[in-house]
Amino acid sequence: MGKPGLKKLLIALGWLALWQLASLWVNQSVILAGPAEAFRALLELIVTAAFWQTVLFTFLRILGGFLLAFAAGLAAGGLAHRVPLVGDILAPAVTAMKSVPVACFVILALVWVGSQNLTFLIVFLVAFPILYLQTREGLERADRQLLEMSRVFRISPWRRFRYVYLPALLPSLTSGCQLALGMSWKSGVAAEVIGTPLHSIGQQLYFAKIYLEIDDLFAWTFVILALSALFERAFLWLLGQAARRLEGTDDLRL
Amino acid sequence: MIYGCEGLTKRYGPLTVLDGVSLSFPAGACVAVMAPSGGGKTTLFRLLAGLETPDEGRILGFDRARVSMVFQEDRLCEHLSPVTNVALVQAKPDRAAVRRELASVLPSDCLDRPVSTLSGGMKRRTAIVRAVLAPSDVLLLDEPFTGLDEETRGRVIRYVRQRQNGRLLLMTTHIREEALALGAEIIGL
Repeated sequence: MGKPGLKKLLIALGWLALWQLASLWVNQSVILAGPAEAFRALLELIVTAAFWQTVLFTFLRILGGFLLAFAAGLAAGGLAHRVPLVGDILAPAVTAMKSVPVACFVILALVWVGSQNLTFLIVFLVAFPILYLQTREGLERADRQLLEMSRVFRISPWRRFRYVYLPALLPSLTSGCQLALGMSWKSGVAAEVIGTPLHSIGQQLYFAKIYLEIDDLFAWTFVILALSALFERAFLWLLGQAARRLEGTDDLRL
Repeated sequence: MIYGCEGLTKRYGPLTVLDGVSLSFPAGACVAVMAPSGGGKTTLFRLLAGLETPDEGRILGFDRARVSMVFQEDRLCEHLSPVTNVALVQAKPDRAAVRRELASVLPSDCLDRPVSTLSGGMKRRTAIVRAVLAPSDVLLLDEPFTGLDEETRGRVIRYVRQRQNGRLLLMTTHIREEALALGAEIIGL
């Protein structure tokens, strides 16, 4: 392990020790379970089929909501860049999605789509405005001089996208995805806690609160953190690979 | 085919950059437009390339022609190699041919490096080859040889002259010798 890795490990161990000391001091696991109890609860959970069913339920809905928001954000952002009127028409809806508290949307979504599809809709509503606005910002940053050059040389729209727009879009889209992915897990699980759809992580958190199973609460929180981090890394890696392939300098199919 | 402009006027706010300019060029001509700095040469080329709209007057022929251009700035995709930058403006790029052409004005070891790693002079030569090899009826070269040392400039001027191939070539320059070396007819603005 290198020096930075060792430093990170020591910092993590320090925080775990602090957590353990705090739980020993409180000495009531219904108020603050320690890391050992949380870890034990996690081990008990992951050997059950219900755990994986719950994880899959929430993961698929968050994944679906995010991917739809990603596709819609890219398409709407691109269209609004080409046709400013589209941006003007979408502006009030995007402002509402950004500003209205998630809880309001959750109550509406419960009425409209029921609790089982709640997560999907909430994740979409939270992630879409971020991805839409970041797409627009990225496209706006495209080099004006290169756009003029491509106009004079009549470069095809596809090549223009690959070689002029994409390098400008990618940094903005990547930071948008990082933010939207984190927000998707936060808002998706929060919506599940309110709507308590069957077999969801949010429902398990709700039960942990009702039955004061704080060790379970920490175990599920760890699962959410791990899933969120893994999903973010995997998605950003795929995005980077796709971008590199598109920008590839050796590609003869220009 | 005659290319030109009639009564071309362009203003930026209170500043009149071009005032009723009329010019005419036969296809295949080689013309150097000379004027002092701020004299409207770049504006004229931007109008001819269709990047600006005139306030008065009209453009003849250029709107129907395929135009290629060397801008005052290199305007290359910095993350791409010289070969890809040149191939980018061709409908069906022949990378081997592009490589051969570039190698006549650039060291061969820098043909596949990202343009961002090249010197200013190398970038300039890449921009010139891109314009020369682009399928076009008209070549607009806006101060194309700026930043090149004397020996390289001579080589690049010969390269451009050999590859005019019956196209209309218009160039702006401050340096009379450049225009003469290119065999261009000199006109004032």
